Amino acid sequence: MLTLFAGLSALIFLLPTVLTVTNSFMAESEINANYGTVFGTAESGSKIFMSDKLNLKLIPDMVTFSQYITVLFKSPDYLFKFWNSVILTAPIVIFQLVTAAGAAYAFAKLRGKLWNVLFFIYLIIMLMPYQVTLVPNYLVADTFGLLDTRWSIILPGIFTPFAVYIISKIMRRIPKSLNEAAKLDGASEPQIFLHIYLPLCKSAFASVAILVFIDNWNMVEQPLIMFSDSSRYPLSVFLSQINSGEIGLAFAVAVIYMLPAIFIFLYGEEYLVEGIAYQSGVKG
Amino acid sequence: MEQERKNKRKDRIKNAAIIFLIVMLVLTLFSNTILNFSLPQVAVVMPGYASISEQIRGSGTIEAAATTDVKINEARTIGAIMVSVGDTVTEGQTLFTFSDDNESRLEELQVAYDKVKNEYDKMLLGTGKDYSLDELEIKKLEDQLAEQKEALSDLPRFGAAYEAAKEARETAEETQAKLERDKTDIDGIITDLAGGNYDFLDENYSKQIEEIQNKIDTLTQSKADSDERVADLESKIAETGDVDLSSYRQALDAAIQAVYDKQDEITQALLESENADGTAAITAGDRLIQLYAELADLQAKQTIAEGAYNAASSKISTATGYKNRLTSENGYRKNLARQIESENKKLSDLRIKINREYRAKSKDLADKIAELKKSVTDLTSAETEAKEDIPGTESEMSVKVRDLEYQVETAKLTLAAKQETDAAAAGQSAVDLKAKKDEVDRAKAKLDEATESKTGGEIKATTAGVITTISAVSGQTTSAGDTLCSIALVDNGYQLKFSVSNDQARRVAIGVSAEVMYYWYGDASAKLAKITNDPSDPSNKKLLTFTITGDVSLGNSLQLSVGERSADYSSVIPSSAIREDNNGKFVLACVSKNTPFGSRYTAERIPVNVVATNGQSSAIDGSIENGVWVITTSTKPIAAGTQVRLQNS
Repeated sequence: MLTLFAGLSALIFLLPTVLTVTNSFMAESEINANYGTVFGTAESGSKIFMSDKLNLKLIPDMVTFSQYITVLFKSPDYLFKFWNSVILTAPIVIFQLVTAAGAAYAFAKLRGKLWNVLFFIYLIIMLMPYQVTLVPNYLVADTFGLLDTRWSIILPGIFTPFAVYIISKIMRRIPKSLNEAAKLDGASEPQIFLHIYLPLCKSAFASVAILVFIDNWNMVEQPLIMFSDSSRYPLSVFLSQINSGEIGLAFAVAVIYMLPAIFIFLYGEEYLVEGIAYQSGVKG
Repeated sequence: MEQERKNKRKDRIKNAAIIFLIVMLVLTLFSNTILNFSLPQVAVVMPGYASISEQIRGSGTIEAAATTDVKINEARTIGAIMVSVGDTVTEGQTLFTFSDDNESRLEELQVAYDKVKNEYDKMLLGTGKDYSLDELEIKKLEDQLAEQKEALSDLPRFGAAYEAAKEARETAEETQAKLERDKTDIDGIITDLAGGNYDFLDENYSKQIEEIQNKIDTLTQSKADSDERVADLESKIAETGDVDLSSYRQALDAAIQAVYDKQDEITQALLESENADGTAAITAGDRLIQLYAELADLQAKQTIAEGAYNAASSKISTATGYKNRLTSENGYRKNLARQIESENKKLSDLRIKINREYRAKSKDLADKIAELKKSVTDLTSAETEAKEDIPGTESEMSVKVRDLEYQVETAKLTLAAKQETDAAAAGQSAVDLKAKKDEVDRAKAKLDEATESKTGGEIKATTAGVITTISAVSGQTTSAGDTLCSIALVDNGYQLKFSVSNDQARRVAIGVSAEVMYYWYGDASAKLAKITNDPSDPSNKKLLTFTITGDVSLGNSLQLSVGERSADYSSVIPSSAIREDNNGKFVLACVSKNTPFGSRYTAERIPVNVVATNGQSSAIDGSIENGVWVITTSTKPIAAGTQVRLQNS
């Protein structure tokens, strides 16, 4: 029974994704006919059939790759925005790991009231939604002349406490004895950091990388606020606007948009699971 | 094992991600190239306001502007056809020959007539009676009848001649009257000129006279002013009088000398007083005092004499000035007098010239009037003669003709009755006699007809041209009135006809030139000569007939394009933008949609009606809105809904 319930729940949760994938193989006319009533896509001057109610169709009447062809071959803007997303997300992930590793090591090694207070502040900041720091970020970016540049998004993204928190949690669990042993062997702090702590925190880094990637791959507010030029918008912003314009292509756009996140997840799945398990104390 | 499987899986995922990124990179780098390759490129234009002179097109075959049919007015047998279709013939050229000989035919008819006449005469002679006088009487009446009929047929001619003569006479009289009126006017002007009144001259002369007169008046006034100035100067000179400056000079010199002498005397007295003692010195002193007083007196006199001299001098120089001015003024006066004389002469010459001119005009008019009077007299005579030539009114002559016909018929019937009576008395059948008489009449009629037709052994062309049709064949026996062939009178020009709708015909005007299209064999031009109903569909179509000139010949096909009067239209697009399918005419509009993908352009179908076109541009109406970009051409075939890209976008 429970299994059945779980199965049904899983199906329900998977339904949007499955719908997206299957509808991405529909022709535009079929999409307009099924979903046009929702998005009001009846074009003036051309007659298209549009049903009076919404039809959720999982299986297309006629499978076609026209959407993918249109998106990949006839929409340079989509491809440029894909790379906008990559250009914004990749540095954030990479540099965040670098900065978070260092900060986490510090939190792991240094104890005391001051560091606890600092760690607590990190926690508070981590808990704050992005919208709270949006205005200060904007003002700082404007002060430094970074508005309308990618650095206005990358720099704040690099220095976030979430990665520090996760990695520091993992690092704190590394026995001090390893540290001492390494020191006895004559290793310096950087060497201890690089050769002992980092390898042991691989899963944490992978987890953080995946989560940070997903978080920043889906960013919407920062580009809308920091960029005035729509050509710099990443794919996440683009996708939010697609539904109002090109419903016929929205599904293909969404599928292609999902792929990098899926690849990242699949590649680092075991680390993520390992990281979550480690966090929860469950040995997986 | 598990780890190895996991590693392989990770490698596959890694490879897939790398491939995905590479594909995305390649597509990004070549996105524009791919786009250019995949999307059709279109050129667009916005409907605008323009004038269109709608072209009406049509084609036809060149034919002669005039043709003539060659007919035969008797029954003949065609022998040989000497021409064929397309041949150019000259006037008098033999077209057909007859296998039957006309002369012998006439002879045959004559013989037949003589024979039947003889038989009839014999029948009459069988009665023993001579009807020559009766027949002569009938002949006389018939001749009179023929004359009257001829006169009646000529009556319109006489009437026309009379009317023409009358009109000519009336025209001449009108002209004479006009000229006489003109002469009267001119004579009046001459009289006025003689009395010095030049007000009735034409504007040119009046202006000239006025100019000269004004000049004379101005000069006269100037002379009068000059005379005044001269008189004034003379009076001033007279007032001055004659001044003898030498006497004043002598007086002055004397006064000066007296002063010098007195000064010498004083000098002497001074010397003496210096040398004198006692009372001599006193005396010398008294003398000096006296001498100084005299000197002062003499100096005063000198001053007076100087003043008098200077005054005299001044008077003389004033008088000299007046005299100089007087001389100059006199010269000016003389000049003015000469100018006045010259202008007066000009005026006089002009007046003489005007007089002469008008007199010449009057004389010329008088000569013309005299000639016209002579013409009027002649024309009046001609009119009278033409009137006298008119034998009578139509009704009078018709009555005469009818009377004569009646008389002829009566005479014939009387003779016939007489002959019957005599024949009956002689035992001849009246019926036979009548039958024979009828036979005689028929033979006579045939003979007369054959004689009138005067057709010889061949038919000749009455005019030059090109044979267009031949309706006869060799050996065919024709009937009277048959058309043997048609000749196109190429000297009268060529024409071309084609049919258009009534609406199109309303848009062209006679005389408009048409463009000859796709003709490379020389220069050719066309002009619309007439618009008539199309016989094939008179209610809906009109036939446009064009006069063709240039390097063309009969049978050529030409395509003409004639433009109608231009009209302004608010939506004009290139004709290449208009497409057509089973649902009618439409255009493809380039509709832009701003999407997250950027501006997308798709082709959208808009049905239109073509209101006017001149081939290159067309005026449309329909549901096309302002600001719509219409697709004119594309690099690939496109249909409604196709995504396109703009040229050079």
